[in-house]
Amino acid sequence: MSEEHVPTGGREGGHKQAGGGLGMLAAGFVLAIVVGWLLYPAIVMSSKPQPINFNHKAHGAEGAGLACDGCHTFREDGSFAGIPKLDNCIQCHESAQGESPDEAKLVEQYVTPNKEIPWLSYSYQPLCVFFSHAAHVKMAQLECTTCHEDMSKSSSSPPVKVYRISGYSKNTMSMEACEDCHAEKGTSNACFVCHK
Amino acid sequence: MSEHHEVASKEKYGMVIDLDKCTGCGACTVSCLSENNHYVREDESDKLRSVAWMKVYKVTNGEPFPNTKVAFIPRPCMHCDHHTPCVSVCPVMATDYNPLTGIVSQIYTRCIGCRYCVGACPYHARYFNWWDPVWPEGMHKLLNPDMSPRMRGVVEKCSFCNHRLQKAKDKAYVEGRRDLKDGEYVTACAEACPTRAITFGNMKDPESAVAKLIKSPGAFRLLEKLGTQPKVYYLSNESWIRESGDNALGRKKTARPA
Amino acid sequence: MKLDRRGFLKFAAGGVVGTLATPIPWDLLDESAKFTDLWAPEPAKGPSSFVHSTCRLCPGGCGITLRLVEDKSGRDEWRGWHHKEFIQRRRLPAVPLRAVKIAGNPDHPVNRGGICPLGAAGLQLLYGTNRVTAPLKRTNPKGEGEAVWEKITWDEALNIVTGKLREIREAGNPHTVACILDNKKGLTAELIGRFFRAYGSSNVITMPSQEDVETVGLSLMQGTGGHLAYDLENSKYVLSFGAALLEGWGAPVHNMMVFGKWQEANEHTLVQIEPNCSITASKADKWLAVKPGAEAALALGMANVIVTEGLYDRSCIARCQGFEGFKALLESEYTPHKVSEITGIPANVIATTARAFAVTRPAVAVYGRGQGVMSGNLAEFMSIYSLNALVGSIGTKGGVVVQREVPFKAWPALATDAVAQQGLSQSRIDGEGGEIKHGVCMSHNLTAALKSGAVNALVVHEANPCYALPGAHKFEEAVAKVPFVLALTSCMNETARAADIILPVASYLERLEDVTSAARVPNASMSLTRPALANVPEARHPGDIFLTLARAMGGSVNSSLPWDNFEALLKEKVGGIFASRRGRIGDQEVAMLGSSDELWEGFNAGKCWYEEPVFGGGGLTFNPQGRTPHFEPVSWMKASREFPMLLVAYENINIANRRAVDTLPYLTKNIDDTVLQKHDLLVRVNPETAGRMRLVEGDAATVQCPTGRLSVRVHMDVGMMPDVIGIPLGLGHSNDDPFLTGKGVNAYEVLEPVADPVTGLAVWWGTRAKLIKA
Repeated sequence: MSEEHVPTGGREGGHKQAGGGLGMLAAGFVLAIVVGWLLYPAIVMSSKPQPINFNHKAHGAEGAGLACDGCHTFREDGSFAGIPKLDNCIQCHESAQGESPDEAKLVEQYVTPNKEIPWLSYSYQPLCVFFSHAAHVKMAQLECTTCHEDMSKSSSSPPVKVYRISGYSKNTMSMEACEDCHAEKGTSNACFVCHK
Repeated sequence: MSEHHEVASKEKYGMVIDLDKCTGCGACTVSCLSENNHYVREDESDKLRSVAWMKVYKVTNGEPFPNTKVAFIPRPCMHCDHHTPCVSVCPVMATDYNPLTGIVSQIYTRCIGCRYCVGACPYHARYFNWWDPVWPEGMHKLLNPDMSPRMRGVVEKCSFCNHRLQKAKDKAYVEGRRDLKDGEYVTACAEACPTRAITFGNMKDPESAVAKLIKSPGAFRLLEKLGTQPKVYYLSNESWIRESGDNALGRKKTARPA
Repeated sequence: MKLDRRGFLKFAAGGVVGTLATPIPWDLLDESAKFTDLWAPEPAKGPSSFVHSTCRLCPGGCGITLRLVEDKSGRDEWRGWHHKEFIQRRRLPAVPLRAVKIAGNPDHPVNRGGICPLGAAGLQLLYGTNRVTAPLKRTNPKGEGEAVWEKITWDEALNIVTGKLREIREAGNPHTVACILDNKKGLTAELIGRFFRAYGSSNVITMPSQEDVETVGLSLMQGTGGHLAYDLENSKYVLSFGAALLEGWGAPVHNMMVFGKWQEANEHTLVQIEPNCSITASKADKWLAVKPGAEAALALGMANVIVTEGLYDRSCIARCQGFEGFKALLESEYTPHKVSEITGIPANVIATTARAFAVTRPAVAVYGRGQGVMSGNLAEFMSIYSLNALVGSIGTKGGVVVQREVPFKAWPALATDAVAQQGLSQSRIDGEGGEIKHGVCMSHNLTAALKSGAVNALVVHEANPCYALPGAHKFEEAVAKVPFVLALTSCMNETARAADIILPVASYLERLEDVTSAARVPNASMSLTRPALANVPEARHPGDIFLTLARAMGGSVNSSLPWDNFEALLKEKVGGIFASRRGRIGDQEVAMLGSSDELWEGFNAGKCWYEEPVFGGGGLTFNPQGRTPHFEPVSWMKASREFPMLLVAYENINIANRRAVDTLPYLTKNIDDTVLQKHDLLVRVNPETAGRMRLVEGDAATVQCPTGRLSVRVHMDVGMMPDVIGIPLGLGHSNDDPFLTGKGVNAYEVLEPVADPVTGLAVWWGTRAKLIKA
């Protein structure tokens, strides 16, 4: 803002406080940025811890040597099983194998009483969406990490950030992202490709 | 827009209903209600308030006793192939024509409830949800997880059980196939029909049952003169039934919804 | 720094610009859109599994496939919005296993994948709002207003019941206990019958069915018992005397499947003989609009043509007895001309139809009226059934056959003590017959028996006689006089409301039970209903309830029923099928199986055992005990000045009318608004008749009958015979079902059963009536 362009209405204090005015502008801007990027997420989202701190690293290539689809399997009817069931864990963790407190918790609280672990999904899609893992993984040959975070290096399960209003996870893929990728790859964006 | 469908697709799904076999029992309607998560109101005996994607209309030949005859016309969404009337009028693209399958969608979460499409549809196949969907205590357990229930204030209609296509495709993909075999994807109404009057399948597959049936001499479609090219075909050897599918004003024998 | 107006505006502007550079506006916009997704309820997702079972909602016994969904755990806990009311309305609690769909089982020989509307709606029975969820005890005396129920434990309930039964037995009156059943086929019904016989009562009485008169007729004419079946699939000419072949008669889905095949083959002829334009009549190749009740006369007129023109099957007649007398009667009494006057069908139509029927082989004449609960007299059955002998269709392919019994292992001998023997020596409360003694149940005599005080305790097992007996309101009054009434039911109904104790019974989707040979289908078959899930955990298997009662009764009652539970009994019985080496299960010959356990496993995988019928030419006696088929009008067929019209009941496949199941909510959607409009039932009247009474479509009117009056509306139906009023059976319930109660009126109330003097069985399908504009 230059002095020549100071509007007539602000003649009285215009010259004196031009710099301070900019300061106010900047203060407002900075405050908004701080609120918007730091405070807002804490208000609008709740943070839900996973029932067990799952160590992907220990199970993956560098540990037990499992690939993603070793646990995240397809069912025979073509649907994707998603987060594994307790049966899957029991195959190795009938009793504790190491000394990790999380493994102890698994055995004590879930394996022994045979209770399903109430895992929280990071990428839950709402009911109006039909996401076909088969189409993306089996047909388009996409890597899991194209959409999901690469968990093979992660040794802990971060809490799930959930929007308080809609209940969606922060990581839920938006329709925009789906459409962009479909457009880029020349795949149809007709409604009934993904909606139900 | 629906008039440009020249996409290289091997699929176009359609339905053939043999009206000479149909006994109007309504198994298709109930199967549809159950498959597609319809709620039931306590006052369903008031037909002005009743929603049914697959509605069975009754027509009579108009002859006096004892030459009277009745017949039934089950009416799903026609999934019009040309100038799809509802798609042309929707202001928010909540309904579109899928060039890959020929299925006309309805996206409830996108619909703004203006009901323009309800007025545009010549087949009365679209319904508006005037009320909150409510299931009596315990009855919600029968909801199908493959199908989204609709909220108050949106329009809904038959989707040719599109979710069954999605599931059938998934199964094929996992088995390493892209194409479906005839009969792998059928709608709930076709599956239920006790007389096997309803046949469903890919009309572009010359070997499919529907592709053969639509060439039958008694095949016709409802209100053909409108040029909407419905993908639901009907069969009948009775001329009065065929005529009732084209109920222009001034005809001697008009279809009368009874 | 001093904050003046200008500074504040700059600060605000900076804030706005800054906010635009944060996710706040875009996120909130997105969130508000996503929030509206939550306006619809969201069923929890999870993997699916399928259970093959059998439908029991009608005598059809279709194979069904139940889809179960395992709900994912955990997901429910973190769904966003926490407004309580909102959540209660829209968020659905997860249940571990739920049933989401019933479809037909393509591998089941009865229905091959098809299903009827009632069968497809079965989950609304399972999850119905009027399920009985615990044993209930009435706390206020009967007859003093609405029943007040108190939940009690099973132990308490069974103690009360055994106490009562023991008290009556110890007083030496076991024969004053009666039981009413709806379904007499299957092991549960046999077990109940056995329980009461061991107890000392032969009063196990079934609800009325067309099969009653057939049983008597069949034993007279052919000297055989069993269930009559028709090989419609292979018949080229079907002459149906009022059977609602396409609207719920016999095994509804099987018949519709056969009809579909007929339409494809185009070499079958269906002639429907019925007063009014029904769906079957419309779909038939020919509809003969016979005067109501004159079906027998028409059959005899056709027989006359076949006999006088010599078109009958000589080899079959050679196996029959009494043909000459029958022939003489036909020639003197039932010439086409005379029959034309009685039936209203022109003589030439009678002759041409008879000729076509006689020369097309195989041909079959089907006796029936509606879905199979209403009944005519014995003479009517004999007249129609005789036609089958004339065309050589007794026991042949494409003709009539008697279903073979499922070769279950026989019951062990019944142990009866002195009290039981004394009780069994008493005559049954419903009588033994008319001029002919037969022992078939005569439920219409129950009202009088209950009123006379002959019954100290009444057990009602999965039946609703207070609603569905002809003359229901009178029966309801009589039930109120019975000192102790026990109802076993899965849903609250009119009869349960009149009980002292109600025991919750598992629905057909929650219990293991045999379903034997589909009604009217020539094959013998057996498949199981399987306990796929337990929606009402308190509900028990009726077989188990009676086995528990037997143990509590002790003595010979207990030793007659030594099984631990119904499953043990069923497994033992299935051993008989294995031992017989008959039939096949799924696609495997029983004779090829290694053990009875293998067969049992097959049944528990939802497979169906079935056996092809054994054909072979049979004959019959035209004049058993000197009774030749003849036409005998029912009293209400005569017009009277006071009641110029005839009220005829009809059935609708979307109105459940045959079992202890009521019309389910999905079906109410299906009922046409020319049948039920809001709360009003519409009777069908010919426009000409209505016009004479100055009635127009939708007018309110009263149907006045000798036995009572009903408030209805009028639907003008060109397919109705003039001066006949058509009224649907199955509406006008007064139980507490928000989807059904108070809709329409109950036609059973005005239908008065008339006893056929020959058999004593009830004849009921109509009554005299007058239509008055309201």
